[in-house]
Amino acid sequence: MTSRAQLAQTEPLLSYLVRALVRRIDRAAMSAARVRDLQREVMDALYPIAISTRTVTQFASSFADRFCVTLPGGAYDGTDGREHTAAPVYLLVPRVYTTGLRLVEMEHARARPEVACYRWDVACKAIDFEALRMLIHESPAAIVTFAFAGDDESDATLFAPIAGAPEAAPFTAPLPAQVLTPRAFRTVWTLTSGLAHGGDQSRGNVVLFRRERRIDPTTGQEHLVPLFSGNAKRGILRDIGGGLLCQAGAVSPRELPPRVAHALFAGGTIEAGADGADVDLALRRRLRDLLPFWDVFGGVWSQQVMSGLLRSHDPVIVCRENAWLVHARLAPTLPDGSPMPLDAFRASLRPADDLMQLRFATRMADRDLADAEGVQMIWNTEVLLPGTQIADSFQLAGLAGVGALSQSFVAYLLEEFRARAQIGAGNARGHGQFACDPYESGPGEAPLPSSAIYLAWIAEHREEVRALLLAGGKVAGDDVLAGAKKKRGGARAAATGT
Amino acid sequence: MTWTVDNLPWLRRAAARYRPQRSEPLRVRAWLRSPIAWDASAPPQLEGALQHVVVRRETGRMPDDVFAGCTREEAPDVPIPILDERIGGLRIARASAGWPWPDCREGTRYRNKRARLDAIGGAGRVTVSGGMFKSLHIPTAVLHTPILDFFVHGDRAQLEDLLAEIPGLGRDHTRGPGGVERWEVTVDPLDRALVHLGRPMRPLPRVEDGSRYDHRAFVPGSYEQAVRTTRAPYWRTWLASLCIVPVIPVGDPTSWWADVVRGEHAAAPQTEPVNEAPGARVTWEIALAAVERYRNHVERVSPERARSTLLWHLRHARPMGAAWWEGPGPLSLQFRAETRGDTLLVVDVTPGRPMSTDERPVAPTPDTTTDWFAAIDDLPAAPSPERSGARGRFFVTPYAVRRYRERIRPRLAEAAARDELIDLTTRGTVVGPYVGTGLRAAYPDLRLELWRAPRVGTKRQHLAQSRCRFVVGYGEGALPQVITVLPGVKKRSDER
Repeated sequence: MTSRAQLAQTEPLLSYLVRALVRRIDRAAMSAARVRDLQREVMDALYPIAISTRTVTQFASSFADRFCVTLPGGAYDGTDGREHTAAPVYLLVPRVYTTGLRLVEMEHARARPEVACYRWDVACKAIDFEALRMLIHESPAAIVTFAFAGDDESDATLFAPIAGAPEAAPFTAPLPAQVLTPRAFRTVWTLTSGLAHGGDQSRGNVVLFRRERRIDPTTGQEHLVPLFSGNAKRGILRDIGGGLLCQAGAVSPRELPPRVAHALFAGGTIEAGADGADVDLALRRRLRDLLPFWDVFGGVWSQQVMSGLLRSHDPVIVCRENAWLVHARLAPTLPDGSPMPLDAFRASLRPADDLMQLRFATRMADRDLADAEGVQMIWNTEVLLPGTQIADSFQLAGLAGVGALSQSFVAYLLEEFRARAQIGAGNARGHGQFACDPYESGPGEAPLPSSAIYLAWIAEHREEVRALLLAGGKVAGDDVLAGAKKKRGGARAAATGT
Repeated sequence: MTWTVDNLPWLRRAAARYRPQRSEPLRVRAWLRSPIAWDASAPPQLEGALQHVVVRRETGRMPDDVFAGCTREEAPDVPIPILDERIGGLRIARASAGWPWPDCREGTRYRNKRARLDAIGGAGRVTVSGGMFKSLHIPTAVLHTPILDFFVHGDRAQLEDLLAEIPGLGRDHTRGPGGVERWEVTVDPLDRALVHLGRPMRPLPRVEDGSRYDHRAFVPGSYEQAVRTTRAPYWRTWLASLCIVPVIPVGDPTSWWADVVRGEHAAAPQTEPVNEAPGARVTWEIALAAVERYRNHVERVSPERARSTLLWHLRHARPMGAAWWEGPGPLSLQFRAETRGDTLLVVDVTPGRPMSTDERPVAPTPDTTTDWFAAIDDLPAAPSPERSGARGRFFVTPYAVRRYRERIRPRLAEAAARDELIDLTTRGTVVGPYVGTGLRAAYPDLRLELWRAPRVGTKRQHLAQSRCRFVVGYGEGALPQVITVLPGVKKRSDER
């Protein structure tokens, strides 16, 4: 849990800690190529190290292991062939950044009156670990730039002094007693294998779970919380729905015109002229009437940009940081059956970090084979632990106005989704399996109708659907793939989709 | 004006349904599940989301389908239960922009999209780095805020009804960002939908007329000037004009907005009321909003009279738990009060028992939707003759509505289908006697006639309901009733 004051206090200490560690990297023990690219390697490594450790001391130790730093110091053989001694890793920090912190100082010859000297393990005690993670998540480049830069007089004014940091008391708001909950369909997924969902940026050979900042209004604290995005869930549902549609129309996706296949499985592409300048009302009506799939997901079809009914919410991981979000939805109870207060519920949940782990994986080069050209690799994937629960919900826009056919299709889609029960990345390696109860309608909303309505309807209209799928993408330049081969500037034509 | 002619029935219907009946200053608070897509120069507004729900409810279709074919000149106004104010000759909804939590942070969320190459047939090569099948990794600026406050002046009951169908706000809310977990609607003692503490609360037309919206009177630095659309839907950029856009402080706990929020939360009662004495021993203050609410809901008298009456009720009131007091019978007014120092500030008044028709006030709020409808009054309006409180020429049976949905408009909700069928049958023309055998056998006492609905849509593109047929039954002592609906004669395969 992090407040602004903690962030302001942590930023200079963390920067000076990394600077101290960087200065003690034993470059002689590294290859020349590694030394040449050291800044990037440190920048890529900071976040995985911060995520995979649980304390600041552990963070510093892990960093030291990775970059050949001897934290306790001691005797060592120098490159000149003589034995040298070194003090433990220490930080020289302007006192303006440590005012009010009760830290034991070291005596050091280089320490000036305005600069204090702290041993690394002492400094680690003054750094808030959550703030450390937040700062590294925000901008590892800034920290690494500072760490590799030389001492400068401006360092004393680079960060906000603690005295000028905002008040520690954060904003809080009581959760309302009487609220309107948007009508939605809800369930809770329980993971039966680790869930992987890649972060926004790559960090070396560690594939981290996607994370996002979140503010708890009841405590005013900021957290870095794992996130499985609603867009990813929507993509999974779209893939399943597209497959079901092709199956119902007795047509393989590869038989479809490329534009149609792209529209079904990825939503299509907005191209020049697709902004509604040429509205084809008949086609739009026909698509919505004949393809409940299209009514639910929408997309771009023959330059008609159409919106879908599905509102895919971000699934919320049930953890301590998200307690305020899922408390009302899960309605937990005490052993005597009375409602569990939010504070007790929050305390009963595990922090998000305790729900994560790194999975180690390797790829063998198989050099014993004659024609082996593979590259040997090791990597780590951060996953949510099996057993973790995720509260999921979605809405159909304007539920009151959604036709029974589209609702029935959604019921069919959800049955298939539950049956396949795979989300996230690495499904082929066993990641992302889950189990859940059927989606339930929220307050004030009727349950979804039976999928039999859709199945009966599609059986009756199979030929029409098939004909629409096979011919629906007929617009100028539709044969984009074939055209790319015929034209002289084929590659350019394919790239521009003309 | 073809689009307007075709869509006038539901627009009029929406105007009748969603015009604010009782208006009061409100705070609509969105508790967000996810960060919201954020553009500081175009903060999120609530009106567009409300209009979306209204269009869906009235037409049963998505707004982009409904408005496809609408020309720029028509620019219809979809009514919502929020009052308007005329500023600089433009009608502005009394709804502020979304004001975030003072401790919020800006951030980035990526939206990823991959072409499913395995699903694409053909023998050529596919380029995923550009062109039609390009994979996307798009960063979107977002704001990490758990709360977004909108201050509006509107009809609370209707707003709550519509808000229940709004699952998210802002760009990409269909994919997660801007997801709303809960809505909270409370009476706002301060009417700050447009201006608060000398600062604009939403984009306002730039005027220099000496009014309270004159930008020269605003606090310097609290706004910037930009060209913006002033009326929802806000993507109609051809209606944009020079505006005063508020500068919303983001992530600054020392800003004026943080002071406002901090002050309100400090003043808000966190526990039981301090003063448990009967009403006569308490020093009362009555917020203007409470006076207006009394005048709107209970008695249409002058504000001074309303205030003195309320004070009398308060002196005889008894506490009813946290923050609630009840006045003496027979009215038994319910008061909601907040502690302000040594006094209790009454911020809300509600009648304690159902009011009779005589007690109900006449509609006090101005008609917010007359302008656009007045402008098109010369157009042929859908006739809706009143008879015994019901609309339409015929009584429409539930069976007919069901058949209409099955045969003509399978995606339309029942209420919308009934309304549409009433309009269609009212404008229909008689074809002749019904000659079928099934219905005549089922209704031997009725005289059956076959009717045809009018053409809907253009000549080249008929809508599904265009020229559909329906059977009307006439019996002694009963109103003529629409018994069933038959599909129209199909001339071309693409007409339906």
